[in-house]
Amino acid sequence: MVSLSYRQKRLLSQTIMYAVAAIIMIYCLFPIAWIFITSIKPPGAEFHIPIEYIPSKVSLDNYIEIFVEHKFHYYLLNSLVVASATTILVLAIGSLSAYAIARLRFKFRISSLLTILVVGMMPSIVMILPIFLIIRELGLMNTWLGLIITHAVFSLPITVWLLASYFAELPFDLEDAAKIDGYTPSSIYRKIIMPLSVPGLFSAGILAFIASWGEFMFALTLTHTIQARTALVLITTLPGAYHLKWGMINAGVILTLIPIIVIVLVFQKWVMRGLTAGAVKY
Amino acid sequence: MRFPSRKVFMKDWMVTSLFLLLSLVLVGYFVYVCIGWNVIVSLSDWKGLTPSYNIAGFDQYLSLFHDQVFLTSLKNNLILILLFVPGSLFLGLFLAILLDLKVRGEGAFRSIYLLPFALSFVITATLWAWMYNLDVGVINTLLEKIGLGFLRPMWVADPNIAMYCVVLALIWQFSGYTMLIFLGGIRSIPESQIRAAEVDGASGFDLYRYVVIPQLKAPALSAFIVLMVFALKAFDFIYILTGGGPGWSTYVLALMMFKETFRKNQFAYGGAIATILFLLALVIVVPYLYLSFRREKE
Repeated sequence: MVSLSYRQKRLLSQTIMYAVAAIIMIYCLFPIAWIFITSIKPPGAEFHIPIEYIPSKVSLDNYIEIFVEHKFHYYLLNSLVVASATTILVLAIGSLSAYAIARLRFKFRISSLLTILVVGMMPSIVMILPIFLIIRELGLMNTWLGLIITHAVFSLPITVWLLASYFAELPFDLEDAAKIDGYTPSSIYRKIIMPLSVPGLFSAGILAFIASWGEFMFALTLTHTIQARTALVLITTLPGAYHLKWGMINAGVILTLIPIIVIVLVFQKWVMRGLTAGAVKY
Repeated sequence: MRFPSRKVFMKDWMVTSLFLLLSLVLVGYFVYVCIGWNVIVSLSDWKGLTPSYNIAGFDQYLSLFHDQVFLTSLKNNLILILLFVPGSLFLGLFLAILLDLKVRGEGAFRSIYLLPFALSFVITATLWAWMYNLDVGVINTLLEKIGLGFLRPMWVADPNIAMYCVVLALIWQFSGYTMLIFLGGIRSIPESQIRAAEVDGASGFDLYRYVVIPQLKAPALSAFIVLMVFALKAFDFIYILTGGGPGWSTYVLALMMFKETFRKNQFAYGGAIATILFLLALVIVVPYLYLSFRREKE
């Protein structure tokens, strides 16, 4: 057996380490890369045999087609409006409740928390028919608002959970001092807690945005036309004359994927904390 | 020094309830009232578009258990519980141990590993549908390249293996998540314990077997609950990847409920499936919450 010096051993283990990390990375990224490669082939070329792993001709026609033929920008706008408004709404409602749960003393603290948290663990499909009827009754079918309210309800549990654990870590001395200075709970909340909680709000907000952007079931049932339908739902309903236009579908996937990739890479610390704190998918 | 007066305390109470009110009203109406309503509908004979609340008792439930589609759906949810849940846990644990090394640029690696989990099911289901494609799918083409072309499985088009293809794809999406949960757990074990075990001569496999893995119970439990709940509520991914087909070979409870309700207008029947789904979720969630909040009180 060849004996290795300490240095060589170290080098070897370093190499293996990076090789493992790289293989897992390929495992995670390959399907996404493959979608991208398909999307930049000329329309129809995705069905050519043999398959080209590196396209011999690069074309943006699939992207142009989805914008021109299907007005994809309107659907992207719907997604953007719904996800942003959901984020703002859920932060407004959720931070108030999280504050009460984390910082105020009252009798039904744990039961209030549980009442909200359990929602995140329920299959949301159980509620889909009554919610469908409520939204229709309210005249909010096929509107942004109907989807925003629904998404906000199902983003509440994770938001309240993240914010409550964030608020709980802030030092209590702050409030005691403020109380002595005559601050009321609502002014403590506004003037002391809120400014200190920007990172927590940010983290919860990013998750609410990702969840709403990618939500499928409610978006499919509560929206029907270009007026309110979200981009991701459109992708699943793209028609094809003889077979599905996979090049165009993949172009749509890439377009809806970009915001998420940017968010995950730019805000990795915040996203990580939230995603590993619990299930964000409802 | 000035202490808060009684009046301020009264206000405290009012502010607290105001702070909580909106959340509780929204959640109460959209979730709890809806679940209750659902149970009532499941006991009725409501078919078609006009509501009917004639009590039909447990008729819907009885016919469910004679419905082949329902039994298949139940079986497929069970497959998810038995294969997808442990599959994601073990693969995640394996990847976490592989990665439990000090790699430079780990932050970037981590977010890449988490990326599949952050993606919408619409996206992941679409990309797997494309990879499983029979003629030009990348998986079959790669098989051909390495000389296994004679296999050419039909993947999601073959009713016998379609459900397993769904499981495989889901494990891919969730393994990055379980890996990070386990990695976080491994990292929170005090360095001194690892050192001590190393001094005692434990290394490699033994170190993980006897020192590291036994301390991963808490992260394993929380990941387990997340995966179990998902195994019950799986809908989007399967709806897009297979639509339940071929035939009804990849139906799951949520998918069947959706189709009965929105494609066939069998509201009472769909309600019964939803109620069963709700009860199954309670079986998983209630003991977990009970355990974790009892610990909190102590």
